[in-house]
Amino acid sequence: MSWLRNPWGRPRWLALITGVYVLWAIVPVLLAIAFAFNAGRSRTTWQGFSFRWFTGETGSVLHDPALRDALEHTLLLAVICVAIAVPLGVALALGLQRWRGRGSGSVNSLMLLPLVTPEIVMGVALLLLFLRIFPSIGLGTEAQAIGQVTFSLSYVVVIVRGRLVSIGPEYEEAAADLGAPPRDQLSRVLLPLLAPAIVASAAVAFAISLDDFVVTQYLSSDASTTTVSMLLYSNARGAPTPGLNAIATVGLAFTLATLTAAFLVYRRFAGGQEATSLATLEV
Amino acid sequence: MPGEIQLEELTKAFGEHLAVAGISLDMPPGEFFTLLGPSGCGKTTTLRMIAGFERPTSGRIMLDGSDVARVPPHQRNVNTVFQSYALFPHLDVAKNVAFGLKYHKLDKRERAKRVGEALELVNLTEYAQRKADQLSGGQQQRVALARALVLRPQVLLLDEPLGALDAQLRKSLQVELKALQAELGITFVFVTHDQEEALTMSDRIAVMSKGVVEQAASPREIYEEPQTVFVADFLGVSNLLAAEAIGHEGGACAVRIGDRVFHCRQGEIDARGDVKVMIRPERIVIEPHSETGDERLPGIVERSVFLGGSHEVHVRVLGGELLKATVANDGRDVPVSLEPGAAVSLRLPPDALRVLRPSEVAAVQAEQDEETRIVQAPDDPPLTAPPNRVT
Repeated sequence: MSWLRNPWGRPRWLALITGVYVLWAIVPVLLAIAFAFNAGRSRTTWQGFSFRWFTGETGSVLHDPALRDALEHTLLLAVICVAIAVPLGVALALGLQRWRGRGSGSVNSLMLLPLVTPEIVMGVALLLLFLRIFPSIGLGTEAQAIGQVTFSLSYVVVIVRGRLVSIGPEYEEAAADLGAPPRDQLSRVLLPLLAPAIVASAAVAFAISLDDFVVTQYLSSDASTTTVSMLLYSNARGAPTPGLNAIATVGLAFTLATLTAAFLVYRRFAGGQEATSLATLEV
Repeated sequence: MPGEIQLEELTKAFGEHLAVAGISLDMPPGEFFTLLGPSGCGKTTTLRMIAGFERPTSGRIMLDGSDVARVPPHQRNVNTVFQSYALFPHLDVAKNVAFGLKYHKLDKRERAKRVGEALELVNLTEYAQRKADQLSGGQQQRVALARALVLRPQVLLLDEPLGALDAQLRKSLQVELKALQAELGITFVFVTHDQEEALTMSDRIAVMSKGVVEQAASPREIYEEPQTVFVADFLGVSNLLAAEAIGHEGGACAVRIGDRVFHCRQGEIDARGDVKVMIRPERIVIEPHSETGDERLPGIVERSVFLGGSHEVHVRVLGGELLKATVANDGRDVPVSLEPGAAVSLRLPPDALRVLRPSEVAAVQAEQDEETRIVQAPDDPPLTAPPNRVT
């Protein structure tokens, strides 16, 4: 390889490998998206361009009850997940940041546990929890929302804490020095400075909720608690139509839109460096 | 006039480490008071305790006669200029300056007027709408100053406010800050590790080392009459020689340095036994080798450094110690060769020789004084003495 002998040469081989990988990763996705616009019922043979699987009379995302309900339920879960996980995660991050006493270190590592626990383990554990210990909650939308909050919370805490560490204590001290009581230190200084991280973590929690399959599947009850990912999975081997491609495309669009928006907001307010570290968190 | 600070046996321990070890200082109203010392000497911790960011382990902080040691920072009538300025990045300059006015009962017009005045005071009126990161370091520093001064505090605390600026800007801001303080007449407590900055700006300086105040006095006194080896060493260039004080002769202390006896008229002339003798390089007179009488120490030039306005000559004297002497570059002929290897004679005039107790002795002395006075903190660990350096 020439770049081993000539350190000034362009690393052509590396560029080639990278290019092949990117193609390999993106082509299946692009194919799936393309067939969402197929005019026929086939998911493998191109029969012309149409929006029928998005807006058509039968079997479309808009008019097929199963598809539409799944999309609605998915978005509902995502909104609930963000609404609970973000405020709770911000409060936890603030608390952990201030708590410097004994035990803070272990709680810190515990917060990361959901990030490394295999999701299937978490799913089974939560299933048992709702069946045996909290039967009053039972399975269904509530359980699904709680389950999703349980692990998306960790992402919120990690992102917000990262920002807190980079902000440092001195802005709060400056606010206190100028006469602001603790409540104003939070509302007038800390929260505005945390805003980019809060937006970013909300987007990440939203995207995680949209994408989640394992936990959501385990904690579902009847057809009304089916999400897009569950629908895709259960119909994959049945009688799939390009309608599934269409709903997957809609889900992907939501995910990409939220992450892009969050990325832009974060970069605008917090500088490019931290935005890239956020990008590595995207799953 | 309000703005008086008295620290009484102020102590701060971080775990086992004693950052501030029972210091007592009086800062009268309207004084430009500087806490000077190397990093880790406790000067910033002291300032942070006055501001309220750290809670003292023991001791009192009297602000105009009442103890504020347990008052949270937002209720203290002192304001701080931070080393990094800590300007709120999400607010523009005017809103930064107006931040603290919310907690003063002022109507809108009065508030705007105060902000305008404060910006005018620091010559930043036309920058009111800028964000903090659109300003240069010097401008940010002024905004930080305006943000604190707009509240009309009795005491302004400054934590190395010039530390992040380049040398030229530092010099001009030193002069401006000093003028501003004189104009406002409020107490400034200024923290720095830069001795030159401390000497040029302060009314009084407290030199700190390892959590204790070594000496608190006017700049002139600190420089001319250092009381401890640490102070002598930290401010300016000093020669410190190990010596033995052997007696008292007509207002002077006779000391033996090597096999010669010198007379010292300055410092602790009543001391006996092991002492340090200090002399500033500019007070040493270099004479030809043939001069051998009293007050003289023969030596060999090791190095001669041209400094523009003067030469700094390093002379290895009999007995092995290295002394620095400066020779003014004033156009007059120097009667001796200053080339390396040249033999010279150094004259150490009695008026320029100062007797200092070695630090161990001083520290033990201080500790004994402490023990007799403090009842509050009996389990303070013993203070270790500053390193006993010989230049």
